[in-house]
Amino acid sequence: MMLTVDWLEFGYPGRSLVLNGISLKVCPGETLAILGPNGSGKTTVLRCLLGMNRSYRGTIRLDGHDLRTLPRAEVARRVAYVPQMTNLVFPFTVFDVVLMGRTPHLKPFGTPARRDHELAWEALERVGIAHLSKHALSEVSGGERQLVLIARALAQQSRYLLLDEPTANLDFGNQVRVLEIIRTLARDGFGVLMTTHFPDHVFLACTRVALLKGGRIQASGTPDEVVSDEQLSELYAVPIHVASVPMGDGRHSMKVCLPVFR
Amino acid sequence: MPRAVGRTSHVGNETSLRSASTTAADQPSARATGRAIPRTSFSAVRRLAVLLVLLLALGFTSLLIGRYPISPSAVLGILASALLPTTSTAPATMVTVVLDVRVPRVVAGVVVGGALAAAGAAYQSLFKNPLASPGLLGVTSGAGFGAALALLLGLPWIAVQTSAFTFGLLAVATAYLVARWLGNGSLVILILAGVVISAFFQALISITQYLADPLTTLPSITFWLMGGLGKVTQRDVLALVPISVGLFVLLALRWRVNVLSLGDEEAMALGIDLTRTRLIVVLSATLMTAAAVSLSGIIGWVGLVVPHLARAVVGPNFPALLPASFLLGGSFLVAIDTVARSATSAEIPLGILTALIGAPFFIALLARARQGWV
Repeated sequence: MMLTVDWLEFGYPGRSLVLNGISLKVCPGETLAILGPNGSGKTTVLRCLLGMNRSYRGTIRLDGHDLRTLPRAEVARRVAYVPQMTNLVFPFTVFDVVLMGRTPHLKPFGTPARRDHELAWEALERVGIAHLSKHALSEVSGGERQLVLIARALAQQSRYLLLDEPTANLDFGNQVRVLEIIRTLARDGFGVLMTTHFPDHVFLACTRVALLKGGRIQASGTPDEVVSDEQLSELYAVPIHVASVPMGDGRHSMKVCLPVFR
Repeated sequence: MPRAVGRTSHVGNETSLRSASTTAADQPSARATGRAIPRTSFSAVRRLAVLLVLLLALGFTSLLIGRYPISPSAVLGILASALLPTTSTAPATMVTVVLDVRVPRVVAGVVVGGALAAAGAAYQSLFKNPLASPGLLGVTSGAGFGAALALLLGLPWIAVQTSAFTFGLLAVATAYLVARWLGNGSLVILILAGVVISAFFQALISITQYLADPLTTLPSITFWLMGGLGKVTQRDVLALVPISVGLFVLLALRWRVNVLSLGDEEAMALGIDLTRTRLIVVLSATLMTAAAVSLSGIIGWVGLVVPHLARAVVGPNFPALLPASFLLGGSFLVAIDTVARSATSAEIPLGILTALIGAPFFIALLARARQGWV
């Protein structure tokens, strides 16, 4: 049981490849971060995994099934997507939005039944925002909105969660809250893949990391192996220092990434 | 839409009507688990029931009003004699006025108003755009040209209707194919194609008006373009077929249309086949609009304004929004048509009244809804 990507290549016709031979693997229970500068192809990887870019070369397998052979709803039952933000034109409530996560489990002409309502409610409770269920999504804060989208993915009951920069645009407290939920979800057996612009978050919430640059994997492995001065400086093309900071009584330490100004 | 709406109206109308009707049976168990699962309260169903009663009341009232006022009891007697094996004591003229003139007209008002509003609601969800109206992809301009052409050629009324219906479908088909050819399923391209095709058919309408005899044909083209239910007869019952088909398909897809309003990427990630779902929704809405327009001529504003009104009543969830839009659209048009045919001795074209009432109404709505989507 795992999500595997082998030699993924993707490009738009007449232009150079956006992804050039990407191989990745996500197992249930682990969190893989994709770290890379703007335009490195992070979002394109997610779009390929979600079956939105179907004209890729290479193989993507979901629990052994070739992604291309799976119907859309079946993909959605295995992989859930948490976008960076959602913009709804009409005033749907938080509960409405989470309930929409049940869509891949409904019959073609069906609507959510009692069980679907219960699962949506459980998902809201799991991320701790059940009290917001009746609010319009536009009324809740950015951090809460991110939690709503995570809850929707949970209601979807997919084994793999793909999160597109889940901590972007959040204040520090909400970043920590979202990372904590991601850690919990991985512990509960979800296979999590997230893109991020914060190398620190890799140490905080991820078990493995892939550095993506120019559509190629620059390095991959555990955060301790991969996120180093050399690798980060090369990835972002600015000098970066990875420091170890003692925590609490000094028995633990955390790594943090700092820019080096000349 | 206004905050107040978000707070009060959709406690749980996120569900379909079907599951709403099972609420009573579910409530004890929800209480037993001690959790306040937000379920469809009776709210959505109750509100729809109120809208249905409103529609029936307006329809009945409209049967009483006209140049020849008839008492409620007489109308009831005539309706009963038509439906039940009883005989009416009313004079023959009165029976004719009610059954042959007013009933077809009220039914047409309900069907046309309902179809336009339902199609508008579907387009607003599909295009995620509060300004979408049923004519967005060119169906009304196409139908307008079809009717104008048939009138110019002096064809009989049934041919005018058929031509309007056919050209309405043709215009949307063209817009859709142009968009397919130009873009990779982008909604913006589809809207732009619709705008272009509309402009094209508007120009063709102008040509027919330019060529038409200013004393005979031009007035009939102009009146057709202003809309009205004056020419509706019992024969027009045929238009119910495409309208029912479109409405039925939209009802079957009600949850999927709801999910479409999340946007392409998220709808796709939830397992929706975007291209196919969109095509079916466009097809259904177009069938309904083309059939409605071929009955009534061009009646603007109903398809744009009524879905907003419906959203204020039952919330944005399409499973409730679709029936609410249909019921309100029917009520709106029956009410306006009653004014149109009885306010002055000459009949006022419907399209004029819907715009006169619709425009200020829409501004009021915008003022209330500012924080919602503007």
